[in-house]
Amino acid sequence: MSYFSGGKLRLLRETKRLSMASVCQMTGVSVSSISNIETGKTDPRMSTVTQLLSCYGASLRDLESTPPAVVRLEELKQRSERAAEDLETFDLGPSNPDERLTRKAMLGLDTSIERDAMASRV
Amino acid sequence: MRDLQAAKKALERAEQSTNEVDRSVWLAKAVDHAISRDAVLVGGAAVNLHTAVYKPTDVDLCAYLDEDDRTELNRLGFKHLQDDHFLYTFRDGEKWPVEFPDSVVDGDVMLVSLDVDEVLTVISTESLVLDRIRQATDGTEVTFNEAVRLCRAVMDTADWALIESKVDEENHRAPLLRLRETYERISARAH
Repeated sequence: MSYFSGGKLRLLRETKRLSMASVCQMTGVSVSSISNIETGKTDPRMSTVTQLLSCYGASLRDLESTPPAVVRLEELKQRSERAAEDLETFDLGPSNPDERLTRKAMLGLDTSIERDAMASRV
Repeated sequence: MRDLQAAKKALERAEQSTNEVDRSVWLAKAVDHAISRDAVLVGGAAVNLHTAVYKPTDVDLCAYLDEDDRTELNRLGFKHLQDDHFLYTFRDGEKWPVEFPDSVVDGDVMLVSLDVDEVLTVISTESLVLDRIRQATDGTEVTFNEAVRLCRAVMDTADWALIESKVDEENHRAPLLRLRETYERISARAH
């Protein structure tokens, strides 16, 4: 399982306010390659990553993240059940999917499939 | 790494699930096994893992899909609707849309152990909170309350120093989004 984060590489580029085109000019790495790396479409060669990092004034350490936490589903469910009780007493009852879908529709998004799916659930 | 046998087993677990949380995570795990890259659970189904009150309308996953992935998903019963939108219909008649809103997750991940040998990658609590605060910048009551629910639910477990630093960082990059201001309103309500 790879935890190389194209998203972090994108963030480093954006923090430097560099466009993909300008990075391409500076490094010779094509715009499509940069895009594919940042969106996870390709697993990049280490040499390409270091080339990009050097352009952003960053190092491999900047891409490192702490190993992801591991949580058992049962533990999460127990916690969330307690949270649900707390939300009730906090005057924040169950979320209303209809309200969410209405908001989504107001943004111009098609919600018919989700509404149909919600209707199928007892 | 594609493993179609494991995908079928995960789908069967989803079929047998009697609650939304189990059904959504096993459905997500089936997709994860069916495609060639790791899928990360994001969106409402991820929120529901923390609050148990969300009622997700679909399963959102971050992963890049190629043609082989789409073909295998279809073979497993995920009906292709449009773009990267699919629909899975369970034997009991429940329909669950499965969508791929992004190829990579915006933030960090955590691993949720579903079973002794099954682990699902899920957006981290802190990145999920940030995502909901971002949504709440639209100023509507519905997104505000959703963000408050999640913040309240993870009050004791999330790394709030990390969340605050990310809010400040992002607010600095896009001040017009008023992320800091929204965060403070949500935080005040959640406490």
